[in-house]
Amino acid sequence: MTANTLKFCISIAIYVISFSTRAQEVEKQVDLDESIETPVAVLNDTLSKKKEKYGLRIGFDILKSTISFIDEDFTGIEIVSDLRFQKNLYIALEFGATERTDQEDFLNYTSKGGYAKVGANYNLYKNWLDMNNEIYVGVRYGFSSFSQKLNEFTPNYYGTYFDVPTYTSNIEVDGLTAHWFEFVIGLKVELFKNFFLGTSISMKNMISQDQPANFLNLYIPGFERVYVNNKGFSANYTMSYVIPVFSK
Amino acid sequence: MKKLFITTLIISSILASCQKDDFCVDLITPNLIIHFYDSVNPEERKQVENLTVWADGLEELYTNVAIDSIALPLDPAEDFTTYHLNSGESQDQITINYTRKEVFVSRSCGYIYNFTELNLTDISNNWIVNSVIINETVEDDSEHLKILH
Repeated sequence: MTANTLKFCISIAIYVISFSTRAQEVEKQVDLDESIETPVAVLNDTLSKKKEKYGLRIGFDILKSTISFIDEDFTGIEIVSDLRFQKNLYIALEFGATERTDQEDFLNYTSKGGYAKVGANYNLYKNWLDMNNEIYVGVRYGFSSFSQKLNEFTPNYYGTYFDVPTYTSNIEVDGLTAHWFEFVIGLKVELFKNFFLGTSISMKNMISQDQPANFLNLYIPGFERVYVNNKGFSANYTMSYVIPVFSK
Repeated sequence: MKKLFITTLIISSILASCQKDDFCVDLITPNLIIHFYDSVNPEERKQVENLTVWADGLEELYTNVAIDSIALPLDPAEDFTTYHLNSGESQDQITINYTRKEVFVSRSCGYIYNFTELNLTDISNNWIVNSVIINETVEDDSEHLKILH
């Protein structure tokens, strides 16, 4: 529950931060309006128009890292990166590792493994002047290699006539793999020069997966919780830094 | 744009904060189904007029009922269950032996038991004339055991 509360708080924090950047944008808009009144200034603006930066952006998911500290049932890290290669197009790569133990009504299990996602983002946001904010849509292909272990289970019994014991199990299935597609929407806000805060949500659809015998993949690193019909959903909050490569 | 900005954040916050999406509505561990038949005419179902049933050391599961079939849970902690059946006139006991097999159902239901290799031992025959296993595997609510009296 603490993890969910934290997710919510960080969402609110980013929401507040987004307001402060909006304010800057409004100021710039005023500047522009003033410059339109003086034709000479307009000419100067055109000449001194800033070149757009192209670079490699590297960051990490602050949510996963924070939860790893406060929740003993979750350890995870995710590195995010993207490379701008056209005005609005970015190649994106994310990879990470997760170990997560979860309690369901009648069982307890641990999923553990690594994953990588590769794809592209398209920026839909028209920036003012030299701003570098993004509202983007993207697609990803995801791959995970993981293990799933059943720790405990309680047989599901009707009624309470007999005391139903909880059994400890040590069935761990290694070498499981999963492949999936994602559709991503997200935003990135340049908080300071070259330093970005971002959030995104992604909808996932499984392509294929290995299922353990007499069990089911309930959580797959990278895909996260496997919902009915093999659909998935996840969100991340990232901090990242752009290493400028060139401008044009 | 401003609306999209805010909407994205709110939707992601709400969705990320939700978890529970399913509840167990699937099948659960089946009971042993016993049907009572007439010992004179073995094809005919026959009620027991004053049946009381309990497992060894536990409270009564059926008390003074007139019934021609009963559903008995099998002990999930043991490979056998002993039931006492009192017909109102006399009392019998029956021990059901089985092998428990865990079967995964779903995230919300977890594992259920199916019981295989059903057999009977330690049967007394005061009012029960004969008992016959119809189905050695308990995996649904069909008839498993036939008791003639």
